[in-house]
Amino acid sequence: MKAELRNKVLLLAVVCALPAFALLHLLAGQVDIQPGEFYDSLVNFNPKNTNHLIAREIRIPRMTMSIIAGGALSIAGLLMQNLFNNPLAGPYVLGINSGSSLFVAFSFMTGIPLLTSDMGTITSALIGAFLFGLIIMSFSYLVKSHISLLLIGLMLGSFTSALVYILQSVSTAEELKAFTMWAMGSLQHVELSQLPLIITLFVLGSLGTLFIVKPMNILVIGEQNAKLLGINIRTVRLIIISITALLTGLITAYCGPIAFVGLAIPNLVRIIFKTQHHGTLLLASALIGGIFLLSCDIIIQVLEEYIHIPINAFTSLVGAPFVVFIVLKRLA
Amino acid sequence: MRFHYIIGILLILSGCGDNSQLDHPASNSDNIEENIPEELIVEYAENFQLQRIDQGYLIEIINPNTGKIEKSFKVRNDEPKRIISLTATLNGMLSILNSTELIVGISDINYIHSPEIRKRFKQGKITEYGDETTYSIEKTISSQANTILYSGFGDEFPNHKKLEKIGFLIIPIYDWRENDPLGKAEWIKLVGILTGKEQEAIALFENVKAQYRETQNLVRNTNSDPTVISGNLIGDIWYAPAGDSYMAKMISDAGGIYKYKDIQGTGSVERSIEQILKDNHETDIWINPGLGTKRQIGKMNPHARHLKAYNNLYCYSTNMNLFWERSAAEPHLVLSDLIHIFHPEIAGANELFFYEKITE
Repeated sequence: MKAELRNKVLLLAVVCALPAFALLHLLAGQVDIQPGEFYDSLVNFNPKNTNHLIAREIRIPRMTMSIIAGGALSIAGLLMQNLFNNPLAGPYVLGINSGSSLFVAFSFMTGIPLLTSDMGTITSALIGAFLFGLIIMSFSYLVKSHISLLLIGLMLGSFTSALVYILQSVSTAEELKAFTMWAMGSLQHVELSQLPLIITLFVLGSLGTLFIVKPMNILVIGEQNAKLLGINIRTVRLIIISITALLTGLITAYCGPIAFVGLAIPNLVRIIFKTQHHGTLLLASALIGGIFLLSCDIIIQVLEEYIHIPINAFTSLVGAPFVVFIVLKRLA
Repeated sequence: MRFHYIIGILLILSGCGDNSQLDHPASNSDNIEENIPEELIVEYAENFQLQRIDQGYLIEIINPNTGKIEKSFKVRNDEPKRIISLTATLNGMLSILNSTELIVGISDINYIHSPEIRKRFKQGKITEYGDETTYSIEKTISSQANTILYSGFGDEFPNHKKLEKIGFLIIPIYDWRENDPLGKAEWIKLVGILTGKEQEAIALFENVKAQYRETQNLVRNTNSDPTVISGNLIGDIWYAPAGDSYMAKMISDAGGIYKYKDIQGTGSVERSIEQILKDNHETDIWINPGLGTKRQIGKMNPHARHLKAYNNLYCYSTNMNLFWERSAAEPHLVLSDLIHIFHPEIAGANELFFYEKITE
C-alpha cells in the first residue's frame, strides 16, 4: 500500500515535470522568442514575422516530437523487454530500427515519388519494423538464451547495414545524400502540418497497450504459466509486435534512428518505480521517455553555439553507460 | 613484356636502375635560374610556387594548414609524363590543355565529364584506380604511369615512399583550398609545366584573368543589390561559406549581398535552421543547395520552403561533373552565371553555363 502511494506520488511528479520541461525546451533555442509569441504564432500567425515562423514551424513541432519520440520508443522498449522477458531488449538492439531503416533506404533509393513521399517513407518504415519484429520473434522460439537473442538482434542490425551500404553504392549522389541526412536523425525536421497524423498514430499505439496490460503483467511469470492462466500468447505476441512496429516505425520515419532510449528508459523506470504493474510502467515510461528526450534536446541546443551533437549521438552517449550500469548491476 | 617490366622494377628497387632523373626535394645546389618569365610568377594562388631551374622547373607545394612547403620537386622539360589524375579539377585542366593523352588513370569514370577522357576510357587507354583511400598499389606499380595527382588533405599519399622510390612523382593538389577564384585557375600553370605546355597554360590563364575582370566590371554600376544565401542544412546544421571563402568572394564579385560576408574564415559558417530563418527569411536568392530538385531539397530540409529564396533557387548539381572539372579553370564562367542570376537586367551577362534554376 505504501509502495502504491509512493508510485502515485512519483507519477504525479512526472506528470507535472513534463510540461515544465516542455516549456523549458520551447525557450531553449538560439533565437530569443517571448512566451506570448508562441501563442500568437498559433492563433494570430503572421508569416512575415520570423519569430512566429520559428515558433510555429520549428520550436513547437520539435518540442512535440521530443515528447512523442521519447514516449514511443520507451513504450516500444518496455514491450520488447516484456515479450522476450529480457531487460536488455529494445527496438534498437533487436534490429527493429534497422529493419525500419532498411525499408526506408529502399524507398529513398528507388527514386519513385510515391515511395519517397512522406506517406511512402512512413509505410516503408512501418513494414520494415513489423517484418523485423516478426523475424526476431521467430528466432525467439529457437533460442532460449537472452544473450543469444541479443546477438541475433545485433547480427540482424549488421546484416541490414550491409544491405544499406550496397544500396548506397548503387544509388545516385542525390538519393545517397537524402538518405544520409535522414539517417543522421533529427527532431527538428517535422512540420506543424505533420503533427496531427503523428499524434494520431502515437495515441493509437499507446492506447493499444491498454488492451495488453493484464497479459503483460502475467507474462512476467513466464509463458507456460501465462498459458495456464488462459492468456492467448500468440495473440498477445502479435499485438506487442504490431504496436512496437507502429511506434518504432513512426519515429524512425520522421526522426531517423534514435538509439538507446527504448532500452534505457524502461530499465530506469523499473529502478525508480520498483513495480511489475505494466499499467504504471507503461505510463511512466512514456512520460519519462518524453522528459528524457526533451532534456537531451535542451542540452543539445544549449551546446549548439559551441558544438553540434546529433540527437542519435547524444542519446547513445547518455544511454550506453547506463546500459553498462544495468548489466553490471545484474551481475553483482 | 610484363617480365621485362618486372625486371625493370626490381632493378630500380635494388638501386641499380638509372634514377638520375627521379624527383627529389630540391637542394641548395640546384641551379635556379633568376630569369623566370614574368608570366610564370604565381600571382593569386597561395598553395604552390614555381621557379625556373636548369632544364626545367622547381615546383613547391605549400600546405594550406601550415603555410609551409610540403613538397618540392623538379620537373624536367624532356621528361614525358604519364599521369594518374585523381582530381576532377586537374582532369578539367588537362582537357583544356588538350593533354588528355597523358592521362593513363582516373579515380572513377562516373565522376568524369570530359568527352575525350570518356572516349579514351572506352578505348581501354585509361584505367580506374579508385581514390587514394581505395587504390591498389600493385595495380598502380604495374601501370605505365609515373605521376600521380591527388587532392591534398595535409596527409601523405598512402605508400608514397614505395612509389617515389620506383620513380613516381606524387603531387598533392590544393586548388580546392584557394580562396581567390583566380588562385584556383592559376593551378593551370602547374599543369602546363607537367605537360610541357607552359606557354599555352600562361596564355589561357591570362585570358581567363582578363575575362574575369571584364565580367566583374559588368556589375560595377548596377543599382540592384540582391541578397544571397548559399549552402543547405546537413543534419541539423546549415553550412554556409565563410566570409573569406571562394564562394563568398564570387558572390561579392557578382554584385550579391551575402549575409555572412563579414564572418572571418575560409571554411564554412555553421548555423541552426532558426538562425538561418532569422537572418535570411527575406533573402532573395539561394544558390548551391547541394541537390537538384525541390523534392530532394524538401526531404533534406523541410523548412526550406519558409525562405523567400526557395522560389529563386539555383544549383550547379544537375551536371556536377562538368562543374567540378571546369569551374576552377574557368571562374569567369561561374561569375558570369552568378551575375546572370543576381542581375538579370544586365544585358552583357551570358546564358547560364553551369547553373540551372530549380523549378520542381
